Amino acid sequence: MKKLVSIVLVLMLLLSLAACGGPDTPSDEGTPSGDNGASTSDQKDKTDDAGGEKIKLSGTQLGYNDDQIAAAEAKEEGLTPHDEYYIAVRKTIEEEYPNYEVEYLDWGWAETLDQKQRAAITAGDPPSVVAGETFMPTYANSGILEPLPQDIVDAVNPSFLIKDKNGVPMAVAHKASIFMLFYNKKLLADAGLDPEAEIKTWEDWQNAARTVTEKGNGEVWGGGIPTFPHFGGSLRATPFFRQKGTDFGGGSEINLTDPKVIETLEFIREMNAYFPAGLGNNADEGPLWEAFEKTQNIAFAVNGSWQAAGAERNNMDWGVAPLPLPEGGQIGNCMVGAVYVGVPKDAKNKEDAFNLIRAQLKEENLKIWLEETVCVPLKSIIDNESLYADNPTLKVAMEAFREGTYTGLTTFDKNDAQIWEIINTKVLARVTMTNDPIDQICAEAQKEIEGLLK
Amino acid sequence: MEKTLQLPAGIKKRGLTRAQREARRAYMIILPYYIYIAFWSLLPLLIGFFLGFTEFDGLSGLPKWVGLENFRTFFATNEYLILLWRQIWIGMICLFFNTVLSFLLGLALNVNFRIRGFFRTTVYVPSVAAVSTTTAVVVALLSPVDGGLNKFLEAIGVQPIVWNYSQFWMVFWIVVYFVWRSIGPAAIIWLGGLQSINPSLYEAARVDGAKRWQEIRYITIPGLKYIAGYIILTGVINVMQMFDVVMFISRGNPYGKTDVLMYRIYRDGIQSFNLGMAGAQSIVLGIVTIIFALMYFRFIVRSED
Repeated sequence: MKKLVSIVLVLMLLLSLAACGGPDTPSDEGTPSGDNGASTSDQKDKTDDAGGEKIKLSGTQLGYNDDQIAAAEAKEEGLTPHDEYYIAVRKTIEEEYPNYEVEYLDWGWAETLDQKQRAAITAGDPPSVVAGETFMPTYANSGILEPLPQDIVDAVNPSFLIKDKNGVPMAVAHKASIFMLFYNKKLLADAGLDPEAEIKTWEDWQNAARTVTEKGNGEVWGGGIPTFPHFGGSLRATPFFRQKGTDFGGGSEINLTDPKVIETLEFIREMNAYFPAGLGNNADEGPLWEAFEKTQNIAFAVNGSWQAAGAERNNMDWGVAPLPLPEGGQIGNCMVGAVYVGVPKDAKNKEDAFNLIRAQLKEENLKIWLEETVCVPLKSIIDNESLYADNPTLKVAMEAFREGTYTGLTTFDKNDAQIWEIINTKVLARVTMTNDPIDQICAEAQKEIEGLLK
Repeated sequence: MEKTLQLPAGIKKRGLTRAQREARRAYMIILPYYIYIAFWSLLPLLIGFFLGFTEFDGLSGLPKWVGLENFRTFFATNEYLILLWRQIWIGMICLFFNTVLSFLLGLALNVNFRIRGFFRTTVYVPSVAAVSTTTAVVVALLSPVDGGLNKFLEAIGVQPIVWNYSQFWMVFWIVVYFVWRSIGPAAIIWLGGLQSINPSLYEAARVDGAKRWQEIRYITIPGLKYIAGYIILTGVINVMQMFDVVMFISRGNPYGKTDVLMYRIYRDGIQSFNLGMAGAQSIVLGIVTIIFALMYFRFIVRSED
């Protein structure tokens, strides 16, 4: 009966995916891309040259498969560091573990990847390595992942680990970032401000943004904290709550009525006045980044390390600094753009699967990311400033990793995505779209979320 | 020359009647399609129904039977009922405008003019264009700062509008997009109905001195009763399942004010993986849709019979 139910459930998940998934389309440049789930299946069932049985492994976000390599090599502009990294990982695996037969799965990213992985996990046949970002803490807390070996834990900065409820490291990111404050030096100078002056506090930032906005006469704006009604908003807002020593809650708790949450939301609302109406809380992020990078009429942007490439590409005279702190606040930030990987408990050849992760964490492979201004987890790289001495963004980010430990967005035991949607739309976006009393906004959302956590 | 097989003497023929043989042949023809439809539609429907009585996240173990708990949550939580109500009223606005405007378009397409064929093709194009692509154009047009619509308003001296701050405007654009996309196929069906009406009825009416409006009132509309039944019934089902337009154009914003139940089912199901709750909502929405369809049949179609 149990087996029958399992089969029916797997069928159901497959049917749901067929109905709702559509073709796999990589969500952004930050994730491996290529074909529609194609793999090196033509290599299946081979034996090695010695005639022994090859160890079969598979993984998502692990390395490029043949089709992805072909697509990357066909690009007119040549290979990006992103391409080079995933090709290098595959090469490392092939050289160091010739007895492995690895299926490099391209299951997309975000929801698509989550759906496919859950279907495989439910079927009892998960990939050797699973990957993800916002949903990986849920995997860790659900007890479906194998704890990371100690050598991996010891080698990486703790911010790059996901731990379960008991504090056991379950997944590691081979790339990530935190949020920083990017600024347009020319716009600051045009407003009569010293572009080299440090912006250390919320007050400094607010004053600078106000001056730019006032001098901008409706053409140039200071910019504030984006509150896009999706994860793009909550990811960028979260560091400011953490700087105040608070967060939205987590597990089975929601914490919206905390006075520190309300104070932070008041600051977010005040800063939103330095955006053109509707830009900082638009569902489409694009216009804001375009205003910062291309049309260059927004002076400040809260973004991850990838913003540096956008500023360079558009010949901006730019600078970067750690996020300003509130008075009496503490260092706080939020991991973003991370690709976490872990080994499911039900995976076959688990020890070998961890070798695949070790190949991803190999120093010479991770150094490739530095070319793209992407932060990497190895302590040996983070501690060696000479590797990124000429990159101001990495200097700021790596220093932050040396000084503090950060996590991604907090996760909730039940209805995680739905709760975050309420926070994104009915708290953050509503705070900046309306003049409704913030305590009322928080009380209403708190009540609704409490119902979802029961 | 046709040969007829004769049964041996003493054996009484107990075969099927001709009608039964034809029916069997017909069933054999549709069997592969039936199996296909059963596999892709009926099975998920049954599984979805079953899931409505369970708690299941697709990750940690098998579904846990919780009986009517999900339904209790649905009816005890004001939020779900608001979403159901919003699905109904936004859907009905879409359905009303789509039905009326497609009828008028069908009438226009029925008039003889030189490039009628071109227009008939043109009105159908929006329905075959990809929703994700066309909604991206709408979203770009609605962008608050550099969006095409606000640029236009500025050009004519009107204050730009922050569309995404307003429930009214987001519902307005959802309806506009829905009608733009759905009007073509409905107009073509209306047109088919219009062309099936016997022209001699119009000729007779004209002989009797009927005006154009009277022709429509006494000949066209009664003649299109069953076409109207089809368009409205399928329309009810469509709008009660509408979520892609909402997802792409407003994402339920501003702050949840354009969120609808079907979009919530999608999110509960494959974002939150609260599959039990998604199943329960689907059952409720399905029942409401059936009630609407039956009401339409009972009070509109049958009463006119």
